[in-house]
Amino acid sequence: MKKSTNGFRKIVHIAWREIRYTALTPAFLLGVVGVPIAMLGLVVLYPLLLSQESRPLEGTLAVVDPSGRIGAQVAIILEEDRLEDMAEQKLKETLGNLPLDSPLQNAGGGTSLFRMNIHLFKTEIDLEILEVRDPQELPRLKDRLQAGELVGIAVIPEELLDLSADIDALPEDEELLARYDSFELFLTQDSAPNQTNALEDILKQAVVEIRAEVGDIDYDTVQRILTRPRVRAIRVSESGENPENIKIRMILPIVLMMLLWVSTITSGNYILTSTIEEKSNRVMEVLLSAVSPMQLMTGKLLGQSVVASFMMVMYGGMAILGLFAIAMADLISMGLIVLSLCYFAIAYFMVASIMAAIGSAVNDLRDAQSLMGPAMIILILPMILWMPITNNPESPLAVITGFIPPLIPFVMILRIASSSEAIPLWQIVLSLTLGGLSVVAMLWMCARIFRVGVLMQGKPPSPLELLRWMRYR
Amino acid sequence: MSDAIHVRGVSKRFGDVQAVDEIEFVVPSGTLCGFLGPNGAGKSTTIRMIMSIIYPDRGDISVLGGSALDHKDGIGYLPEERGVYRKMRVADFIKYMARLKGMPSRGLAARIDDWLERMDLEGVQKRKCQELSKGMQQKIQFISAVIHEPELIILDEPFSGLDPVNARLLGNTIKTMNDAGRTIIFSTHVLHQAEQLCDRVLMINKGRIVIDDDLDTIRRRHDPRTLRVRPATDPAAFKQHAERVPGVQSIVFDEDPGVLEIAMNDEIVLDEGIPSELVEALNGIGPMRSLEIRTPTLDDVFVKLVGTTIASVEASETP
Repeated sequence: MKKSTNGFRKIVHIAWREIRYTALTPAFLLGVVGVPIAMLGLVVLYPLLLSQESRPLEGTLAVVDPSGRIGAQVAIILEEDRLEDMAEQKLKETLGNLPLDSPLQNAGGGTSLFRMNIHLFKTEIDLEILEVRDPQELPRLKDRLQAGELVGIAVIPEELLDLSADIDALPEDEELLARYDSFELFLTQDSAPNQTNALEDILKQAVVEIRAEVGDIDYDTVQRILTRPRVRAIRVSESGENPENIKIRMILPIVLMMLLWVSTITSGNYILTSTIEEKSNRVMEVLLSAVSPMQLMTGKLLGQSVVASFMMVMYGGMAILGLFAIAMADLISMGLIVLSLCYFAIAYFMVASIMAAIGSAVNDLRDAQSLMGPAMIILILPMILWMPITNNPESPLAVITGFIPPLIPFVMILRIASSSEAIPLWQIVLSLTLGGLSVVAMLWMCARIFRVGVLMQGKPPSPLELLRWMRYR
Repeated sequence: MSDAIHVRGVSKRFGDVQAVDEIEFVVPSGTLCGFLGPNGAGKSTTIRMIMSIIYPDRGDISVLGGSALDHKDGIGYLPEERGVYRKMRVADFIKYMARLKGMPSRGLAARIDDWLERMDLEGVQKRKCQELSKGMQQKIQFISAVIHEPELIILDEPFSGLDPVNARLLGNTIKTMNDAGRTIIFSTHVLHQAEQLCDRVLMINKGRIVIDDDLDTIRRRHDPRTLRVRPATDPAAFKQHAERVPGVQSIVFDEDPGVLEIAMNDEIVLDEGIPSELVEALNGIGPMRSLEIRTPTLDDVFVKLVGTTIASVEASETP
């Protein structure tokens, strides 16, 4: 007499079907694999592509300057190859608004994103300077510009270098006043934006440096005076002193929690829809003739756990690569990764078992919405608690919610990633234990509901009916 | 002969409805058993309990000597609700179900091709299930239920939704599998389908078993009480005279107006053939082209036991 084969093998078949028809579909691969790879590719390749695309600045720049000093200074800047410093300075100004403090400032490795992005601001330059003192030459120079003999003509008014003039005492003549704070730069019709920017940067720098000379001021000293200092905040505690990075401490926890949340909810949603599909397609009874409801649910949970892990690896891996790119990888420790995986497992099995139970109890997605309401309210709580918990990860609110089963993984990730102090070991152990026990309890309850729900048709059950299903023999 | 299914004192209630009430029956191994009854009689509930998909409130069910859960791979089941994974390819769907039933992957593709050919479905292997007609999907589901060559095959309303050609094809396939030694139980509310195929009948009404026997015994036990007569003379005049013959209860015209159906009262016994006195009395009225005992149909048996036809029961159950 033919006995049933190994139940585990059946579970593996179910799990594989879940993976095959969820993760190995064009839409999933495009969304979960294609998008992160494309984003990473964009981050890495875009600057390189741009630098290769930018047109070099080659030719002769005419500098019409009665003082004869600007042209010489431009030549010095070009000769000393100070363009890279200028590009770096410009990048720092551009990225200055990002919430990245010391790691970015200290980034200096040749592979860092910071270094790569300098290419964005750097143009290959091979310029000859044509110094012209007589402004009367301008019409003739413009003819040469149109003929393509020059790449540009800078007309520096004498007033631009005059630091002694009392600007407020001058007559209200716009044209006159403009000569004190601007100069004209004539360009060819086909001048590229990067070429224009490079010319402007060099000329402005030369004007500033000559002004310093005129005023008999040390340029480097002035620059240091005007640069606002950075603050290196340090937290002092019993265990020692740790550098403070408020912005990172605010962002890292929410990034980790969102990663956890999105991957578990997305996979849970796949379980919900595939269970509803099996019910509405009436394929459920065929399946139950071959496997038990418990085997079916276990197979689904395991299959989707692979899908969820895959999503975590793709997006999490991309985030870690991103941190490497901006030389901030030291923010993620091995301990944090291991704990994240533990809390991910707890979060996944909690959310997925709830979704499987809901999917088994209803006949279509519309019915599922009404049952998902209470579950989603609980799952959205960590979002609401994000700010208070990251602001004070040791507060009673943070500690207590870290032990409430559905919130455990999300709150604990927020606490661990945001706290500058290590979370006490007993709290981590207790949360993992409570999380593990609640996963077992949740799986048991949801399996009882699943077992009854998969065969039910008609109107969706009320939460009370779901509780009654758990007691069915 | 061992029993493939043994049901003892099984009851099942859904809310206020007593779906199955203290039923007992056996299905011996190797039989082709029809599970008959009107819609809502409790057939599908009983089958689901046999399959351990749902559990009885009371009673005990033994399948292949144990629980169906322990012998799922030895059972082929076609549920009443038809269903396939709509986006799966036909061959993938059958393969998936076969693997869940414990079949090794080696040789599976060839067996799938063979079964598709047997069911007149050549060339659909690569097509998605949703691209097939309902009848074709039903045949696909039938294949997925039997491809692992189970000892026991349980088919819930296998003919519903099939056109006559495919119903005959399915009937022949079922007969062939039974001839090969498989135990088959199928439910239907169309009794003549069961009469054509079964050697054993289970009849259920309002959750209770009303017949459990082999077909010949049923026909013999529910003794025939009707004669079919084709008079050589005027049937109306023959009818008028025949009504005065002793033992005749009533006479009606058959659908064929040249044929009379003569119902006998309890004094006449037809088990051993038509009594000679009765033949002589009828011959005395006038010459007859034919005279025979009408074999009772399962519908007749159902009417006799329940007092109404299956169609009437179903009509009264329809809201």
